[in-house]
Amino acid sequence: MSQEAALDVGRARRQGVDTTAVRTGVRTPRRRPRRLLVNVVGVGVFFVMVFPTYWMVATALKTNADIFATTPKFVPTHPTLSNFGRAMDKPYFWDAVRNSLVIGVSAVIASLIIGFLAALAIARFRFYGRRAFLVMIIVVQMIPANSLFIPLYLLLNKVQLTDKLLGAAITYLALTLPFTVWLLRGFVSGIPVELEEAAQVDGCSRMGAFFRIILPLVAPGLVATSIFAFIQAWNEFLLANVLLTSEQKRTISLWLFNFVTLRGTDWTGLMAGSTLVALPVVVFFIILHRRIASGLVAGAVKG
Amino acid sequence: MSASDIGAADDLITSGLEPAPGRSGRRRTLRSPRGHRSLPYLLIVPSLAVLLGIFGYPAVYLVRISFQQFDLPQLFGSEPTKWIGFDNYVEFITGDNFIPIVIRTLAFTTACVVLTIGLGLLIALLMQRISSLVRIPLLIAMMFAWAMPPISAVAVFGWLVDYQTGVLNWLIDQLPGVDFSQHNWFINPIEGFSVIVAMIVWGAIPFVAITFYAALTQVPHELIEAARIDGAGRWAVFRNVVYPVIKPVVIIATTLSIIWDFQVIVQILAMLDGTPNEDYFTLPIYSYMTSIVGGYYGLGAAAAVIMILGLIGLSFFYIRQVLRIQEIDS
Repeated sequence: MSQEAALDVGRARRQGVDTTAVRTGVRTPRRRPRRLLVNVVGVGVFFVMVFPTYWMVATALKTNADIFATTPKFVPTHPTLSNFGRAMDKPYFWDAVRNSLVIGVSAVIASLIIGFLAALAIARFRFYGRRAFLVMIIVVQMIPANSLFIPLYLLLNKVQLTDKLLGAAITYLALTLPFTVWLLRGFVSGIPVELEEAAQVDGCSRMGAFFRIILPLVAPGLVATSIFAFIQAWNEFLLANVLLTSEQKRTISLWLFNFVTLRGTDWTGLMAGSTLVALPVVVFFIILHRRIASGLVAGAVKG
Repeated sequence: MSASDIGAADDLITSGLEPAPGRSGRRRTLRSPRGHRSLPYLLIVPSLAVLLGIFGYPAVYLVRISFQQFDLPQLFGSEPTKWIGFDNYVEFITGDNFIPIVIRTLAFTTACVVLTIGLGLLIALLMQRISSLVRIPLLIAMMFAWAMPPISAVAVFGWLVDYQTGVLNWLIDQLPGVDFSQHNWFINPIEGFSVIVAMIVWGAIPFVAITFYAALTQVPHELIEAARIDGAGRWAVFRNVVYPVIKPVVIIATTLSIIWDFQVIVQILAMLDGTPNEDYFTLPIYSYMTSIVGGYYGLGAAAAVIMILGLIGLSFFYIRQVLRIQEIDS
């Protein structure tokens, strides 16, 4: 009770209400210890949540001698970047980076173009079958290509696209398309129809209005969506594992997995590798963080 | 998994919450003028083609081979495929492994979902109550956990529980009277699954906690005050005032978690070096090991079909919820 009252005070203060009266009213002897306790629990949760990430980076910076200390060194005392160099020198690292980029970028570009058109249709038209199309998008999003790896493998094998970057790019296109459509739909319907109508009154064609008015306005949405899609492609493991068999065709998550299977040999190198794989995703999250504040929520809240 | 989480998170954050101003009104759409009636169909044709080609056709093909004998000889074309009716299904369902696999899958999914949703809700409530000096670092820590690619998480958790130099064994070893040095966590499948569940829950909590936290800020403050004046205790306030407001978000998050955790393959597979033994077979792992590793594509397909049917049942609920929100929107 007292601590909730303390929350009230916080809220009231944020809303610019004079809180002195409330505060004196709720001050009880139990308030301080409970508040402290809650914050201590919060700090505990923070440590549990941050520890795996911290341990990955800390280990990546340690020397091999350090990790065999009988008492773990919680702070790397002799930080070194040599593990990263060693990870990058591992065979096929740069091949893997290049493959992931080629597959991810081509899938994302294709899925943005195709998805933008579909998003226009859903957000700007009512047509027979619209609802069915929406249901299909949601169902496909729920049951991803993950459960279809057997037929995808067999079918791509038939047309000799297994162990080809093109085959993986095609499946990743299908993997990213549903939520690309879903997110872009939100951005497009966030733009007032009146803008297009004005353009059309001024002599712009319907498609012209789409490309001259909507496209520039959803640009932040396109960036955010493409980052989401790229992260998904970068992280994907299962289909890549099934489809890409030869070493030089493997993507970055498969490259790291090769490392994992050598468990027990080179932990510092593995942690450096994990950090390298996670790095672009973290950077994208940070970029996206701003988008969430501006474009994403703005687009989404309006439906 | 993580990127689609975000997309869903975006929906979630906006979905269960109070309608934003102007959201309740029917959205205007351009009325198709003459000659443009076919335009929306032209716009969705490319998407339809991709989805039918890369989801629809393979899905049909999956069902087809689940009724066929399709092993390695058929893959290489040295023997023709043979229709064998329900034989694959019968073989899978009457096999010794079937019941344990189903129980294992359900227990694994339940553990992941209950822990994710329960801890996520507790952390969301905690975040409301802690000072921003603690909350902001916590949010940043959660963003990092959220951003961690599954395969990196597998490597990190494998390192945390490593039997020789893992920090977890060292920590448990510090307890008086416990000897945990050289303890291998993957010999006993229950312990092995605990590690995998912990890893999945750790990665899933940020999405759930942040979503719930956003939903909690929508609970009208006057209602809480009124309930308290009427003498409601802490638990009664939560149950009767707070929970009803965040309920739609909790339901969607729970359904999504069930669907995701039900089909976990990568984390189990990679944590066990790509060769999980039968003690680690869940439905999707069985399907993978039978088909891709074992070469019995028909049998693996039958298991996959059973899995997909289960998923469709589970997601039905979710789809209804999302469509209801759509109706309000558009």
